[in-house]
Formats: sequence, C-alpha cells, structure tokens
Amino acid sequence: MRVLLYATLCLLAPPFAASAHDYEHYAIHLSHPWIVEPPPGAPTAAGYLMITNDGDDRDLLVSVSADFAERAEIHTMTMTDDGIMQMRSHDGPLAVPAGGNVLLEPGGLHIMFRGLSESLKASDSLVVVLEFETAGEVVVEFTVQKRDGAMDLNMSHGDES
Amino acid sequence: MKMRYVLVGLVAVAVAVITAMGVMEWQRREMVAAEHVAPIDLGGPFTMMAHDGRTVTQEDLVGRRALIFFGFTTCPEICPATLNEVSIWLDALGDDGAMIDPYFVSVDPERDTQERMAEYVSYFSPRIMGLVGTDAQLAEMARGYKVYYARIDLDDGDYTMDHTAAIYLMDTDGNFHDAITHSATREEAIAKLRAWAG
Repeated sequence: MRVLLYATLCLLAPPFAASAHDYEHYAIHLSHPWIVEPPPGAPTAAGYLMITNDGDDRDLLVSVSADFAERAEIHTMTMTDDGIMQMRSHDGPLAVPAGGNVLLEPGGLHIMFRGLSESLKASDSLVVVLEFETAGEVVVEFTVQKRDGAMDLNMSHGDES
Repeated sequence: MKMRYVLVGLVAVAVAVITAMGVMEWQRREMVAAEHVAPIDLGGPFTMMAHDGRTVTQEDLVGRRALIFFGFTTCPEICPATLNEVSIWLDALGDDGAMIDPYFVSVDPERDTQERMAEYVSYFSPRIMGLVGTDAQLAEMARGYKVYYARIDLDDGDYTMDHTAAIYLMDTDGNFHDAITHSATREEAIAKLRAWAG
C-alpha cells in the first residue's frame, strides 16, 4: 500500500519524478530523499525518503546527522481522535524489517532537522549521513523541494516499524 | 386520442422524476446537516496582534468570513502543510473566496514574535494574517475557540507544541459555521468553502 502511495505520488508530482534519486548500500535501498523547503527564518525542516531493506535480517536506522543542522532526529507525527497534532521523537532506533520498508512522508514519520545553520532553498542538494546498525553509514544527498501542490493533507500515515 | 395518452404518460414520468430528484436533494441536505457536528458556541472575544502590527479583535470578523487555525512557526510539518493548503484553496476559489479572511494564530507566544510571524505567513500567501499575543491573550482566544495547546519539552532544552489542528469557519456575524478537519481532502475543503462563501 505504501509503495503504491509512493508510486502514485511520483506520478502525480512531476518535480518528484524528475529529481528522484536512489541509493543502494548493502541490503539498504534509499529512494527519493528530499527536504521540504522551509519558510524563511524557520529553524526547522522536515526530510523524507523511503528506506527498503532487501536483506534477510532486520536493520536499524541508528542515527542521522547533517552539517547544516545542529540536530537531526526521527520524529513521529500523529493526529489524536480529537484532532490534536502531536509530534514526538521516535522512541529508539527506527527498525527496517527484513524484506520490508519504512516510508518517511509528509503527515507521518519524518527526519526533523533542527537548528538550521543555513536557509534551505528549493533545488539545493544537501548531504545527510544515515547510520544503520548493519549496513553502516550511508551518505545521501537530499534535494530541497517546495511543498508540492499535489500534496494532500489527507495522506495516509506511514506505519511505524 | 392516442396523443392524449402519450401526453398523460409523459407528465406522469416527469412527476416521478421530479419527485425522485426532490427526495435525493432532501437526502443530500440531511447528509450535509449530519456532517455539521461541531459545537456551535465556539468563538468569542479575543485581542491579538496581527503580523503587520494591527490589533485584531472579534469585531474584525464581523461582516467577513473568517478561516481560523492555530499553530506555531517552528512547526515543520502540519502547520506549513496547512498554510500551503489554505493558499491553494484560496487560489482555487478565486473571486468566490474574496470574502474569506484566513487567520493563523500562534500557540507559541514565547518564540513567535510579530516580525517572525510576518516573515513566516508572507511565504505562503499575502492573504493570510498571522496573529500573535501574550500568554493571557492566547489563553483567552483558545478558551473561546476550544483549542488545546501544550508545550512539550524535547531532550535538549528545545520544545515543540501539541495543538488542535482543525480549521474553523466563522460566519459574517462572528459565529461558528463549520470546521475543516485534517481528514478533509483538498476537493472537499474547496467545495465546502465555495458552498459557504461563494
């Protein structure tokens, strides 16, 4: 379902498809890393990608780091039944199941970059290091993109794994 | 003679069709009424500062259609997504949305200054009015609008805010009309706004 959603997004949003880029590192496959362009002066930015694990064993995303931000953390975003938005740090490392994937997407799991040291502009390319327990460090370039017009608020939330 | 039977038949069919359409319209209105479930005593007095320095109170809503939502400028996710959506809705509505005044109310008085709010909202749309206030001013407005907000400390001294994410539609008399919730699609939101303000 999440793969379908991701595929649909790529089809709906040409800028996504145009700048989609993938990384392979051992069993870990990273698709379409991107950061939504933050409004001017905003000290935070959210990053997204899909992490696929083609291996036979579960892997863990242990940490995220980037030179342009003081902190980079996995956050969850949930909406309570009475319509209250809650953002929290993800509890511990993010598990990527064997033969499965985890989607970080608007409205759900995201990488929260805090304490931005520079203003991020659409089409910027920024180096982010993802450290996995088994696969090790993966250096990834995230592309900054404007929040897309094809992005509904009503997107289904990524499952936490 | 045959012609008369044909005519009577046609009239009968027309009556049946019109009756069916009437029933469908009645059912549609019942459904619309059923969706209209939010509390009706929402709103009330407030005094906040707009991002351009003006003082805004409940009196400014009178005679306009206000679209009000709450958030904070440090929010990386739902707040900018909502502001982005609202600007898309306004563009889609065109002249039908001319009566709508969108307000983005900060639930983070500590960090959201007038200057910061000005820079933030103008990124999305020149139509969106950012409102900031003191703790007491925010508390008064949030009480009236039944909005929940709470500071949540992160582990390094930084903090985030939990807050109600619904968008309130306030009628020309300043009273609550309806809400657009997080689960609404873009098309549903635009249709609701057009039916309300168009």
